[in-house]
Parts: sequence; C-alpha cells; structure tokens
Amino acid sequence: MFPVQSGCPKCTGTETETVELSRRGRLWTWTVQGFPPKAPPYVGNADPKTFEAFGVGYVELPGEVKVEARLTEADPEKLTIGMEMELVIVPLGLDENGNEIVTFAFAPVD
Amino acid sequence: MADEVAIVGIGMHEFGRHEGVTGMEQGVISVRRALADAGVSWEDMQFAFGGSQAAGAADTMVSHLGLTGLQFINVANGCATGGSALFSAYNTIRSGVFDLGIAIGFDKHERGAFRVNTKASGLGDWYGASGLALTTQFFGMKINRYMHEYGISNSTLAKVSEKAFRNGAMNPMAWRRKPISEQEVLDAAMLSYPLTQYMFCSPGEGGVALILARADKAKEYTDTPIYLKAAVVRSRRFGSFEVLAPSIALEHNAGPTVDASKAAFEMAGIGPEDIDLAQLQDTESGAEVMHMAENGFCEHGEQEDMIQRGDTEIGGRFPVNTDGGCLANGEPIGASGLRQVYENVLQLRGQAGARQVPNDPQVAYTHVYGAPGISGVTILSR
Repeated sequence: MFPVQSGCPKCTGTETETVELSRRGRLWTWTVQGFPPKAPPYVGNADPKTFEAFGVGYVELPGEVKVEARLTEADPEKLTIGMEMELVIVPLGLDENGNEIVTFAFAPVD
Repeated sequence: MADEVAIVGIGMHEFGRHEGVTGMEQGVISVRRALADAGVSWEDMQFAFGGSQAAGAADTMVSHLGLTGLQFINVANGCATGGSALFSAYNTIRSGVFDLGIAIGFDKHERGAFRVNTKASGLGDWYGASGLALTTQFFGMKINRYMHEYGISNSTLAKVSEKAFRNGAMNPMAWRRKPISEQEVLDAAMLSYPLTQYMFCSPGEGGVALILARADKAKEYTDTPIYLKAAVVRSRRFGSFEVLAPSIALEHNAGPTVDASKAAFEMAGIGPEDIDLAQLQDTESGAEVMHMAENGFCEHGEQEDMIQRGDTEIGGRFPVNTDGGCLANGEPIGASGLRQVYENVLQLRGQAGARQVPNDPQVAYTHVYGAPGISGVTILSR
C-alpha cells in the first residue's frame, strides 16, 4: 500500500510495517490533466490563463505496488505505457509565507 | 422465484441547470410526479428512502410534501446514493415490513469538475494539494490502459458520445439535446487524455422518485407494473483499479461492477443474453465501453466492432443508454442511478416515445458506478 496506513486492505490485519519503495518502475497507465484543478485544495498554479497541463500516471514498482503520481512529462507523444520512470522531487507552488512546496513525481528515464 | 416487488409509479424533474430552483425542490417535484403516475397520495406512503450528495437532507422534504409521520431514512452513499435508496426500498418491501413506499434521489452541483473532499474520502490533504484529487484523471487513465490492452479506438469513444447526444435529443428530460458529430467530439478540448470535453458528462441537477409496492398488490396502482428482479450494491475488493486511489495493488481484481453484475444475474436467475436493453454508467464515453464487458454483455475488446457496427444504438442488437446516459443528462449524483431505472420503466412500459426500443423489450438492466469504487445494478422486467 501507498501511503502507509494502519491496516492491511488485503488480509484485514493490523500488524503492518513501513518499507522503502523502489525509485524506479514502469509506467502502467497515464493521462494529462488538461484543465486547472480547483484551488483549494490544489496548491499549484490554477490560473486558467497561465495553467500548464501536467501528466499523471501510475508507476508499477517491481514486486511492490503501483503508485499514483504527477509526471514531469505532459506531452502525449512522449508518454508510452511500459516506459521506464524514476522518482524525482518537483516544485509545486508556494505556501502563504512564500515558502516553496514540493511534491514527488516520476520522470522518464532517458 | 415469484415476483416480490414492483415499481408502480415514476416521477422525474428535468435534468440540467435550473436557476433559482433548489435541488430539494426538484426532488419534491419528482415525488409529486411519481405519486400522480401511480395514482396515490403522499399520505399513502408508508416509508421513504432518499438522498442527495450536495442538496440537503432528503427527509426535510416532508415539510413540503406533508407531515404524515412516515418512516423516512436518509441515504448517503456517494455515486450509488440513488441505487442504495432503491436497494433499501426493495428490501423493505421484500422483508414484509411495508407494502408501499418511495425511493427518492435529487441533487444540484456547482459548475465544473467535482470538488473532491479529500478528508471525507479518507485521503490526506496532500492528495488534493498536489493535483491528484480529480475523478476525471482516473477515467482518463483507466480507458488509456484499456485501449492499450484491448484495441479500442478514439473513433469508438467519439461514437459513444455521438450516440448519447443523439438519444438525448429525443429525450425531453435530458440536459443536452443537441446532436454532436463524431468529428466535433474528437476535435473538442482535451480534458484528460484521451478524453475530450464532449466525452465527459458534467455535474448537474435533477431529481427522480420511484414508487414501489408489493408485487401482488401492484395492479391496484397500475396496469403496467414493472417488476424488480434484482437490486445489488457492491464495494471494491483488494486489487481493483478505482477512482481516487493513491496506489493500486499489483494483483488484479476485476472490480465492484463485475461483482455486482454477477450477483444481480444470480438473484434474477437469468443471464446477460436475456437482457433487451441496458443503461450503463457513462461518466465518460470510455466508461460505457468498459462497462459493457464488465457487466457481462461482451468480451473485452469486442466493443470496438459492436459500437462501430451500431449494435448499441436504439435500433441495434443491444441498445445502451437509450435516454442519452450521463453524457446527455449530466450527473446529479443522488438522482443519477434512479434516472437509469426511470428510463427502463418507460422502455418496458412502451412509453419512451421517439426513443422507444422496438420489438417490445421485456427485460432491462441498469448499472451505476462511482467513487470510491462502488457499483449498483438492477434488473427489471415486465
């Protein structure tokens, strides 16, 4: 499971442990977010005039889980199911004090 | 198995946008229309199940309809709210507690994509903050994967929308009543690849009410009772791919639609080959395609030829979403699943007018799907 939770959705057990996931996997499916998400809750750029589409996908981490994340690539021509992806940290926006907010994302491996 | 429950009255408030009319008022109007259809009064109602997601607590509508003291239970079950109200009404009559009652669903949503309440959905604030809390993304990703696995074309997705708007044009209760061509659908703004603006339904407004009676008393109210053969609601199991999921297990489960469909067919004692027409959840055009197979009406991938051939048109071999579906009607969450049942009752009575399915259909199927991975199915027969 991702993120960490207290119970197991498969066996209903409650003895769980936290493990570190792989940083690399393969793109299982994807889309491109073509319109600004409503803000709040979105903290990125939601201004329709300057909004830039972003990729979203599930990356299959071998033997672990498929994790949903933003993708650094938003061009449908450059996204293919099965391509290799790697974890990166990307800037998302600013909080009310002007501090940068970052999030996790996956980038195509060259 | 002998018939146990019949639908003896149906009422609907037009779907769409209705400035100055609350969602609750639309619910009240649909109730009054259902009462008139069955030839009964509000005082005859022994019980009610009702719900909305964004338009208030259904039970407060008794102050408009009449303070008769009936048992009124609010239902809140996401996209299956209407289906759950019907399921509850169905089983209340089956249990023998009451003979005559009503299931009600209505809603009124703000414009634009649904604003997901991440806390109420059991998700962390980070999920919405980082731009992942959009149901539209799930639908784009599910159909993108499905097209990759089963060879569904963009043309087929567009044909589903084209059919929806054509059927909607024949439905006076529908929101979108202007035909839109396949090419216009393909050329519209890309909202969530590969789905364009005209491939998605919009959150909307409307209400539906259904009056249910014990089957052996149904003829007291109507000459054309429609019997409820099955009503099933299922949630997701481990390994299924659902809306608003930060992760998915590697192992695969087919999902709540497959489970609900199988249970409904078992309950009714019939199979997919016995169904004459179906209303299937079409949040977007790809959903209709995938749900044809998930509900057992074809193998995965067969939809491509079926839709290109016109099988799912009103005059085709297996008509789907004869009233224009969510695409043409919009999606007032509380009312959406009941709209499908309303349409099937009209079709089975032979009262669907310009969009009547030919050759006297006998058995009809509804399927609703939504967050957070829940499906409701009903089977109706004459």
